[in-house]
Amino acid sequence: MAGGPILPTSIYLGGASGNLSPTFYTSGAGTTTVNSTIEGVGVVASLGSDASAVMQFNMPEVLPAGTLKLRVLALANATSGVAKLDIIDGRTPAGSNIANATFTTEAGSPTISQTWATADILVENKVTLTQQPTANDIYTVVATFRTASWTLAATSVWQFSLVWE
Amino acid sequence: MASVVFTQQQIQQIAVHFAQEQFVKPNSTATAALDQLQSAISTLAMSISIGGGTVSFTPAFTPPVSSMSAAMQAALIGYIIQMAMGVPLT
Repeated sequence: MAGGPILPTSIYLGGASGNLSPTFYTSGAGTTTVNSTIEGVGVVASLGSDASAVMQFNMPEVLPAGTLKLRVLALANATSGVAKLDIIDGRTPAGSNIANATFTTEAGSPTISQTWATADILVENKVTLTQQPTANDIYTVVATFRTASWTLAATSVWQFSLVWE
Repeated sequence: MASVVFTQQQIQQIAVHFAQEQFVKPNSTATAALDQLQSAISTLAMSISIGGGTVSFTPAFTPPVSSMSAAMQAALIGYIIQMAMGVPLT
């Protein structure tokens, strides 16, 4: 049976040299813009250096069936531009050091290349994750926004969750 | 007449500054990507003649910059001249 979404229980942006921040996005157009506000990881416009968001997800007691994927939603006030990010994942049981987990950088280099054509719409990517968790694991996802070929000239807001489908 | 050949880094600085001032700060829709802005800057062929109270010019940016407002195009020309004259983009 499919399951999720699970949102991160920990998000660390302190290693991103100010290029990432916890922020929100509100649509500038639409019928009820006041209801459109959504929180997420903010990325500066014209990203000038690689920036990583380190996220930890607490796995449930019973894992859903299905394929584990990272669901990535993003918003930007832009009608042009490309954002790039790599996705790295690992799993750690309690009693272990997260730093010693096996981490996998998902394919694509970068894993996600998102082109903007319409402002204010939710864009979605889903990435199948290699590392398979067991119940109660801490699941690590590092989203590294890449400056190489990043052409998005507006700030953007990103939200990450785990789903099984 | 002074002449300056921009480095790629300087062209990028102008594009980033334009995006910050014209898109991000006023929360305007970013209608151009960084690479499009850099292309518009590096391919612009334009002369401005100022003398005796007469100003002659012909904006010649490539799309999508050519479709932007006159204020935005004028700002970009200003940033280019600032950079050429060694005035920091702040």
